[in-house]
Amino acid sequence: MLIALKTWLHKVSPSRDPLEAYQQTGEDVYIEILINTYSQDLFHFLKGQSDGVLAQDICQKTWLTVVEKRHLYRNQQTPKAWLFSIARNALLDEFKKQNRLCSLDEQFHEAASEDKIENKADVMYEAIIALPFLQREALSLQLEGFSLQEIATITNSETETIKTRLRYAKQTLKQRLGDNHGK
Amino acid sequence: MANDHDFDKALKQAYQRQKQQHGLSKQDLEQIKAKCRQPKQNKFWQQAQWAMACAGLLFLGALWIQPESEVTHLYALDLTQYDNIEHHGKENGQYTVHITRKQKPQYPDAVQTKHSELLAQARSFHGRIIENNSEFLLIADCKKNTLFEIEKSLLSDLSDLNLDGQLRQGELLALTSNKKGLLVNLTTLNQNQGIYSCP
Repeated sequence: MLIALKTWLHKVSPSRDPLEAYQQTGEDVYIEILINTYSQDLFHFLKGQSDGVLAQDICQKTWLTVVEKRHLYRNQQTPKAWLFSIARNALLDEFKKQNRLCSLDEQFHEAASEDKIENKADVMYEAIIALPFLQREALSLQLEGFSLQEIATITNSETETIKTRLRYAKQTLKQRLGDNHGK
Repeated sequence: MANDHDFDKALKQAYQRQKQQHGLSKQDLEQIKAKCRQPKQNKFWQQAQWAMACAGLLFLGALWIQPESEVTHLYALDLTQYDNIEHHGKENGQYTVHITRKQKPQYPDAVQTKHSELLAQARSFHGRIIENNSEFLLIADCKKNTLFEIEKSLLSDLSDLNLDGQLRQGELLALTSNKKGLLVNLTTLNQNQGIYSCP
């Protein structure tokens, strides 16, 4: 009874990295915890870089990759950073297939909706979405809570490059939103 | 915007607001979970199939390389170890016995005398089946001095045993012979009867 309780507590312990636990045991309970914890973040990030359908597809692929390649996870990374690395690589692969990778820097997101955007936050989000891909990506990852170093790891870039992308992204946003938000 | 900090905060709020409004549905999440469980099940079946295939191969391999059974090996026919070989059969419907005696360099007379004495009296003794083929049954007496080769046609007259199913190699039999040395009865012995000495 005590052993069972200890095992249960160990399983549900919030301090335990569920990805590490999944890597070690392969039990479904851990992948379900991970899906519940990170799927929304992952989907939202991917949707910001592509569209809803592709984002859902890549999100699913990411989880299947986690199941398949969980042995590759090293806990020097946070689970979230590892998941986002997988998701980003899957997205770029998909872009390659669709020949959309040629001009990432120039790639702009199509407006999600043609409806009139009245809400201030929605206007701001639409402005983020309108940024070039690499700036949008760096900013989205920062808004997801990743550090500069983590963003650099996820995107296979230098930290200085990420700083530059973020600076440009914010400058652009300020220019576009400046007058409206200054009021 | 008043300063960078406020601007960052506003960006974060806008980002989080969109995330909450346009996230994955519960159904989508369940679908992902189901897909993540599926490959593992397939993997289990794959492993099970591999395990069964390996077990099958091992079984076939074991059958292939398995030596003759211990029983066969233990009671294999070796004619050199018997002093006398008695052939019990039928000639023109009559029960006949032919005895072949092995020529031993030492004490041949003593052996012959002893065997003749045995033949001259009605007796019951135990024997073990050495071989059971379609034509005859080979039985070694319990002292392993005499090998009885009994034709199947005669055997059906002596006993009502099931000759195909009941008589297996290594099985003990109780035999009875008359004063002429002809077998008059043959029955199987229960394993639990425990034969420790020859009668």
